[in-house]
Amino acid sequence: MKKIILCVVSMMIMVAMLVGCTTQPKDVVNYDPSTSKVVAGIQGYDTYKEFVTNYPARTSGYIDSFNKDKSKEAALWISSQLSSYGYSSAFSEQSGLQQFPYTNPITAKSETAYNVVYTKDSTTPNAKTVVIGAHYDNVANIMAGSSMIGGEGAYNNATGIAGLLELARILVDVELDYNVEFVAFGAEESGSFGSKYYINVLDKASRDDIMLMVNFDRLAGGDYVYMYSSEAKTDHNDYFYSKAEENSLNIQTLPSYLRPYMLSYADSNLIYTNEAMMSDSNVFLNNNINIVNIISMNFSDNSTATIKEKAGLGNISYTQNDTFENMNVRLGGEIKAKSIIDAQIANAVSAVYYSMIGVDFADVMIKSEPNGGLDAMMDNKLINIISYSILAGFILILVILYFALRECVKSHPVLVDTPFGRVDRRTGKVYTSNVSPTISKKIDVFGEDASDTDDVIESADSGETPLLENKKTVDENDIFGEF
Amino acid sequence: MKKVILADNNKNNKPILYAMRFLLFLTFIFKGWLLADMQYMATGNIAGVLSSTVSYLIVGMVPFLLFLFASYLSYSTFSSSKYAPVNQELRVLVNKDTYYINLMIITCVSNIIAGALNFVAYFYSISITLVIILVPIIMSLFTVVTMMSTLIAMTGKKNAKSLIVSMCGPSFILFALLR
Repeated sequence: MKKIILCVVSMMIMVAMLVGCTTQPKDVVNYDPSTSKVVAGIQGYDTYKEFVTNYPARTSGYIDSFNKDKSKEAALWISSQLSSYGYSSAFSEQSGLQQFPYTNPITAKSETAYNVVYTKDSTTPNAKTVVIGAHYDNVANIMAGSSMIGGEGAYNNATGIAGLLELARILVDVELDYNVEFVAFGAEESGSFGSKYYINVLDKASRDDIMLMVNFDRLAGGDYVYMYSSEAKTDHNDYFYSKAEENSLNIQTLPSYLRPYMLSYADSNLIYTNEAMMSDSNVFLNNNINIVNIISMNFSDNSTATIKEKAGLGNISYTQNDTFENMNVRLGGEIKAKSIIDAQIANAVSAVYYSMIGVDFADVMIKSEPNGGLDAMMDNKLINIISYSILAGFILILVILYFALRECVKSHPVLVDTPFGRVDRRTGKVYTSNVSPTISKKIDVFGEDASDTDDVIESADSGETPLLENKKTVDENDIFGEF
Repeated sequence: MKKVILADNNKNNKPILYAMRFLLFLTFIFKGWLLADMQYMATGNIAGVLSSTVSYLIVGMVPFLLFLFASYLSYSTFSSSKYAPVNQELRVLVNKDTYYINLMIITCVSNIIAGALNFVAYFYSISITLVIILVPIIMSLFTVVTMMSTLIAMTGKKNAKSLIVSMCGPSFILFALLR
């Protein structure tokens, strides 16, 4: 009875623990500016609104019915903003645009797209570079199979462009001992073609000089603002996060396990734990450059198979719901939407700003590795080596024990019953002891003419051992020879 | 063909065996909850309870069936070893039900520890690769070592050497099949 009660109680505990496994969305963070020390004067919403309402169709390669490249127009607007802050561009002759060709995987046509590249140069000799990036293109009205996808790209990624421009604006007068390159990437949605081109045309020295890439992709509109690196933990991401904590900013870290998109995008050599693998930052990571991603999402909502920006609501990215109006509705009206988007962009931009002005920022970024934190230990190869070394070590111990001990261990026959008698499985030797008790004993065999047979029987009955002359003794196994 | 070395099994053990198997199945689900969550998140096309339940069942069922096969095969190998500790009647000292129940209890504990480690991986910044690859191997080692220790304790120290030798083969089977 006690065992049954124990089993029932154990099962109840197990069920309770399983129920506890279901991760419920947490309460939405209150992005009250008064509780976090954001940098004063960040007005992300206005920039975001201006950009998304003026350039709702900015898919790279999209030429409208008036033969206008809307993507280029959007890029030129970003360029004008950065130029107005006083930044210079190596592509000033092209109005700050880095033009590049690419083959659109959807249309299979060769198209032209643009990166917007502006630089804040440092006076420090041999200064390293930090790239602040965000893609400006969107997926507007694209046919995917039989359905139309894409909206205005309000969330993805007008919010990121607003963050990029706000950060550029507040860094104008700040003296830094490293260069900063502000890059608005084109053709990201088609396959990160802008960032690939940007990296590929750099010479090795310039590429090695990049000590960090900060990526703003979907910066506001979700429940939380997450900041994360190439893996769940790196030194450079820790640095950013510590600055966010110091200033009471509402920044979250990722849960360290794979999300749906992440699994499908997972590299074969490394199980990535974040969405950085889907954005321009992945291109930098593949070139061994440290990355920090900032994204507004709700990774805690596991209620369906897709990531959601807001708990309980459908996915907005890449859908026709990704519009300025719909964002306002989802966030509770324009006034509330302005408050939330302002606060989230301010928190994200402030986290980057406080980190970039840190006195030891450059030192930490240079020393840190793309996967240099705890998770550097956790890539698949190393884990496999450790795991299987442990296993192989233990198996080796077992083999050694087997050969060392078997000599001093008594072996015994392994018996099976067959129609032919009881047989030792290994040697084939026949044992009959339990089948025929008579044969199993040693037997005295006498000749038919033995004169003392009666005496022997009498002696046996009385328990005495008679002294015999005409007999031979055989073992049980030899009997089979006799028969 | 009947192995005479197999000890007779007590029919009273049946309810305990069934209860233990059910409990074990639950612990396998618990052990794999994070993996089930990821599978569901990655492949679930039907939103809601159904697809997540299917994911949990698959994650629990596959290692559970492997366990049943491993326990049968390992005991068969152990009992037919010429070094297995036996009594004077050449019957193996460890009876089949005892072996199974022991293995199930140990695996239950192992699963619960592994499942709890998933929480650590989930709530703290520990890579998922630790949970998916390293923890199961460590828990397999734990299961095998604890199983051998328990059997040594049951059969007495004088049989320890023969038990270790005869358990080498079954240990390989357990390493290979316990997941």
